[in-house]
Amino acid sequence: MLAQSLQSTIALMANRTFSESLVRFFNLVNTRQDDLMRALYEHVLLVAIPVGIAILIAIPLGILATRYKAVEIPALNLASIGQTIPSLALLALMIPIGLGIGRRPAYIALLIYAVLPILRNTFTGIAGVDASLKRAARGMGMTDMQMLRKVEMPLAFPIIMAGIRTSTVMIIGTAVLAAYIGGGGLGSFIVTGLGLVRDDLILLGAIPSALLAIFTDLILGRVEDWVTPRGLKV
Amino acid sequence: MVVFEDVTKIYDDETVAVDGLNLTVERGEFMVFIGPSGCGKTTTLQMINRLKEPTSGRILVNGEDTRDMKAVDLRRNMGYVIQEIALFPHMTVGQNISVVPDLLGWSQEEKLERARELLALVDLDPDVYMDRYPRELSGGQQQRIGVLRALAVDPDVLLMDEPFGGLDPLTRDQLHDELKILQDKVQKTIIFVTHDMDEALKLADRVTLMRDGKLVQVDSPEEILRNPNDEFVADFIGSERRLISPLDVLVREVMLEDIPKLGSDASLDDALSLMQEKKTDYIAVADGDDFKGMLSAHRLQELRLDTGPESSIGDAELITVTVDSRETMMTAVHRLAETEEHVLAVMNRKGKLVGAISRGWLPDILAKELWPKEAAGFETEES
Ligand SMILES: Nc1ncnc2c1ncn2[C@@H]1O[C@H](COP(=O)(O)OP(=O)(O)O)[C@@H](O)[C@H]1O
Ligand SMILES: [Mg+2]
Repeated sequence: MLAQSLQSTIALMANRTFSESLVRFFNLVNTRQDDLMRALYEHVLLVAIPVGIAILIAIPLGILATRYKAVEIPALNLASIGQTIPSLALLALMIPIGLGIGRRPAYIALLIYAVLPILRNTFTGIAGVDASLKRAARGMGMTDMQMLRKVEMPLAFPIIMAGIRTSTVMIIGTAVLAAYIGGGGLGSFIVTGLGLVRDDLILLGAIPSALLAIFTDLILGRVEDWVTPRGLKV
Repeated sequence: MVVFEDVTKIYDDETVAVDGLNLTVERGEFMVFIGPSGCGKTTTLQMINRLKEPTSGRILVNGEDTRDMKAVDLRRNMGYVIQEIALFPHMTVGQNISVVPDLLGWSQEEKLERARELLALVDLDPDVYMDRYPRELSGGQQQRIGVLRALAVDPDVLLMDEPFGGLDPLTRDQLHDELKILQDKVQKTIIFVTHDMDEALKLADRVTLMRDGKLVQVDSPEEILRNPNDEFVADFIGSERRLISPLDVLVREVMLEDIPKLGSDASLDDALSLMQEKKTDYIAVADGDDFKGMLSAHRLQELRLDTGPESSIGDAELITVTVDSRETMMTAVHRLAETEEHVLAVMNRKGKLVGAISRGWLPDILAKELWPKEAAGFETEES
C-alpha cells in the first residue's frame, strides 16, 4: 500500500513544478496553522521525552560501564542491537509485543533508539580521559566520586553533549515515522499526504521537521561549544 | 621518614616487580631510586601512596603503617609528581595548585593565598600565571606547577616519578637547580625515581640502585661513583661518569707500571738509550732493592750538558719526590705542580717502588683512561 501510494505521489508530482507545490504548502501553513502547531508540539514531545529519559538512563549507565566490565559489555551490546534494528521495524514491533499503538509505544521505541549515541559517547568520553590524569587524581587523594565529578565529567562532557546532539537530531527524523503507529507529530501530515497524494500535506510535515532538525543541531552545537571547558579551547 | 620492611610486590601475572625490599628513607632526605626500565622503581613508589598494594611486607610513613591509614588521607598528605605532568587541562594554574587544598576543604581565600605563595616560590608571577590554563604554559612551566601542586598542603613526603623525563635537557637542568633550591627551603623527604644517572648524582643525598626488583646498592652519589658494589653498578654508572673528576682516581689505578731501571753506576748515555728504547721520559735508579730516585728526560738533558754524556748517574741529583699508590691522582698532580718535578715515584705501602707518574704522560692518561671517547654513557632506558 505504501509503495503504491508513493508511486502515485511521485507520478503526480512529476507533473508539477516544485515552486507550485511550495505555494500550495504556504497556503496550507496559513489555513492549518493550529494543526501545524499541535503537530509540532507533539513532535517536540516525541523527541524530548525519549531523549530526556535516554539521557537519564544512558549517562549513569555509561559511567557504570567505565567502572565495571560486567556492565560495559552487556550495556554497549544491547544498545548497539537496539540501534541496528531498522527504525520503522522497531516502531512496528511495538504492536505485536503488546504495547499497541499511540504515543506511549512510540516513546518507548524512540527511547530504545535514542540511548545508544549517548551511552556510547558517555563511555568513550570518560574512558578516554587520559590515564595519567586519572592516576594523578587518585595519587592526590581524590575518591572515585571526586575524580568523576572534578576530572572525568568536565573533560568528557563535550563528548557526552555531542552524543546527546546526535541522538536528538536522529530522533527528530525517526519520530516522523511514529505517525505510522499513531504516535502523532509532524509525521502524521506526511502519512496522510502520502495517502491522499497531496504534496502540500507532505511538505507540511517534511519542511518543519527538516527545519526543526537543522535548528536543533545548530543550537545543540552551540551548547556543545559552551560546555567545552575553556582550558581545552585555548 | 619512609621505611620499607620486607616489601614484595607480585603482580597478578606473577611478575615479581619488587622483591624483599628493606630500606629507610630519612626525614628530609633526597633519595633517588635508579635502575634500568622495569626494575620496579615505579611500583616501589606507588606502593608508598598505595596506588599499588604490597603483596607482603609493610611500609611505614612517619612511623605509621600505611595500611592503617585511609588511602585518600595518606595520599592527600603526600605530594605526587609524575612524568606525564598531568595538570588538569580544564583547570587554571590556580585551580590545579589548589586541588588538594580543595579536597581538604580550605576556604577560597586560603587556597588563593597559598597558590600565590607557591608561585612566588618558583619565580612565577601570580598575576600573570594564576588564571592561565596548562595549555598556555611551556612544558617546563607546567612541571613547575606540577611540583607546586604536590607541595600545596605542605606534605612531609614528596613522591616524584621521573618528573623531568619528558622535558628537554636545558629545561631539565634548570628544574634540577630549582628543585635543589626548593628542597633547601622546604626540606621535604623526597623520593625521586629516574633512570638518568646524571640526574641522580646531581640531586640525591643518597642513591638507591635497583635491579630486578632488588636493591643493589644504597649509598651517597660519591660513594657509588667511587666504590660501585659490583659490575652491574659500575656499568650502570658508565666509565666516564665514574671518573667524573679524574683527580679522584687513585694513583695505582692509572700509574705507569713499566719502569726502566738502571744502577747508579750506569752512564748518562746508557740512561738516554734506555729511555729511547723504552719510549719513556724517565728511568728509575736503584742499586738492587735500594731505590735512589728517578731521573727524568728533562733532567738528563741538563746533566749531559753540564757534566758530559760519559759521566755516571751516581753523581747526579735525582728526583726523590714520591707519592703513595693509594693516594688520588689529585694529590699526585698537585705534588708534581708544587715540586715542579717531571716525574713522581709511586711507592706502595711497604715503601717499594711500584710505578711512576710522569708529566709528559698526563694528557695520554686523561685521553685514554679518564675521559675515553667511546664511553657513551647511559643515555636511554633500554641501554
Ligand atoms: N600492572 C602491572 N601488571 C603486571 N606487571 C606489571 C604491572 N606494572 C608493572 N609491571 C611489571 O613490573 C615490573 C616493574 O615495573 P615498574 O615498577 O613500572 O618498573 P620501572 O618503573 O622501574 O620501569 C616490570 O616488569 C613491569 O612490566
Ligand atoms: Mg617507571
